[in-house]
Amino acid sequence: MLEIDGLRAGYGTADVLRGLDLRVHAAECVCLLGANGAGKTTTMRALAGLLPARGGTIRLDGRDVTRLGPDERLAAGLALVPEGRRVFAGLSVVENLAIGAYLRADRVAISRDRERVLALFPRLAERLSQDASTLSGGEQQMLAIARALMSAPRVLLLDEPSMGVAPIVVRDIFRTIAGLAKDGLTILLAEQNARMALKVASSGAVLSEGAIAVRGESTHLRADPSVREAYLGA
Amino acid sequence: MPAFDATALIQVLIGGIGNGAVYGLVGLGFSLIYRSTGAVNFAQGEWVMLAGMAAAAGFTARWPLPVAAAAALVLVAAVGVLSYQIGVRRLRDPAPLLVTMVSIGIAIFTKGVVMVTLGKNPNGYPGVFGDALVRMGAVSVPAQTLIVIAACLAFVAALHLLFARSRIGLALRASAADADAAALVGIPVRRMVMFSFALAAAAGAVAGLVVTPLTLISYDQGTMLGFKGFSAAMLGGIASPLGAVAGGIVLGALEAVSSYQISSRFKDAVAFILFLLVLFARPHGLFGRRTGERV
Ligand SMILES: Nc1ncnc2c1ncn2[C@@H]1O[C@H](COP(=O)(O)OP(=O)(O)OP(=O)(O)O)[C@@H](O)[C@H]1O
Ligand SMILES: [Mg+2]
Repeated sequence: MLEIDGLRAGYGTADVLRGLDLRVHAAECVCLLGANGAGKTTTMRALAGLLPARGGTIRLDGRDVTRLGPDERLAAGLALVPEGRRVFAGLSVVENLAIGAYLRADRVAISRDRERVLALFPRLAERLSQDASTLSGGEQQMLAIARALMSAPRVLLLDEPSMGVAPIVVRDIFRTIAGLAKDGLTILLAEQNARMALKVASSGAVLSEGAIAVRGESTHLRADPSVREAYLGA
Repeated sequence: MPAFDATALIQVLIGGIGNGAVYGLVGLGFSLIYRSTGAVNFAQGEWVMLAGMAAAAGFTARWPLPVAAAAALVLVAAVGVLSYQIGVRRLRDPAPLLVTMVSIGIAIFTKGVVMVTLGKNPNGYPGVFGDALVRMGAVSVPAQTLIVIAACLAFVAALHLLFARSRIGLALRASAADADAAALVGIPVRRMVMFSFALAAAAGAVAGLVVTPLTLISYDQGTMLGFKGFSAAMLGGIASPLGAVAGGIVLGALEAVSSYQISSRFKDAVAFILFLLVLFARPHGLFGRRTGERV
């Protein structure tokens, strides 16, 4: 479904990604692991179209989206929940959800999806008119995911949903992500929290030195000595 | 100092609020562009002047006044869009300081073009009700002053509705809050910045159109109007459009009362003093409280 070949991207004169290859099949949940600064966020930004690809191709269902802007990629079905949540301050929860569906015109389907995401995150339903910036970290993360879901994506990119969120809430959020995956949503999940990520993802890839160093089934990665040492603290 | 005279003071205050409404509209323009780019748009005052001058030129050429005013409004909004194209769109990295610098160039250029094409003489046209006075008991004020206040309130109300209720208003607020996140929900962020320039120019144009019958306008009045508008925005918080309008009204009222009680020569100094007070009372200026992310 999502095919990334030889992706190069970076900042200034330096390339952070130097030929990244990755496949995410339909209805699959893949996690992208990597140390601090490995380039997970860079990958996600390049996939969403916020950072131009310097080389390589990104294909969605066979369609080349490498040169498309963020809005066109979203229209094609690729939605990113950015690192650090980035909910819209000054907009209420319900406005954040409404703006998530900015590119859609089907009112009936939009309001049905709003009910659906609010059922997924009941804590948001209790805070509809609250300014998004006054939500707790976990609630903001829920809102960021809900906002992305409001675009009715076919592939959901999640960049470090555990960041700055209390451990109990992280578990809640990961349970929801697992539920989305089970319902057949295609997911690419970038995480430093490898333990949690490998639990929800069916397979994983480790990003190191600008390319995928190790990849495999989650069970396989959990057993891999190098992965255990570097990312599972064992 | 004149003896205390409540009627005169109320008249002075209403006149001041009228001026303040103009400063507020100009400040609103500063605020809209600041929120979307992080820059201070030095051309804002020139847009006020351009609207008045263009409408006066149309009126002199015997166009019906509503037509001249509408044409001036459209012209100034177009100049706003053009300024975005030159001042932001073309820049590889539209950093706030760079956009601010380019706006100074645009301001000087606008002033020069108006001087050369429309001349150096003050120009104007009659107000909607001419020089009529409205009497409320012992107080009487020019009808046009009330038109100025009404125009300001109407513009603010329309803008408020736009921001609160419309899809594009929501997109404008989202873009100002976080440009990257806005791009991620599919908002064409650059077009939103362009739209902010058009709105800011329209705010300036409305101010220029309604104030010209009261004061006449000439090519060199834009700078002072811009400074007053900027002070208004600083006073109310430049990141807040409604704050800028409130700041303008406070500034106008204080100016009027101080020139009545002290000296009319003191009038223009009031904005400067308030401006400095804001800077001193908040060492980082009200900029430090910015809520908007630049694009
Ligand atoms: N805007 C930027 N300008 C310059 N360099 C950047 C920028 N953003 C990231 N980098 C650099 O790119 C490299 C990859 O960063 P990236 O944010 O993609 O890593 P990451 O894997 O997401 O890390 P983390 O787990 O800490 O989020 C780092 O060396 C970082 O310093
Ligand atoms: Mg990251």
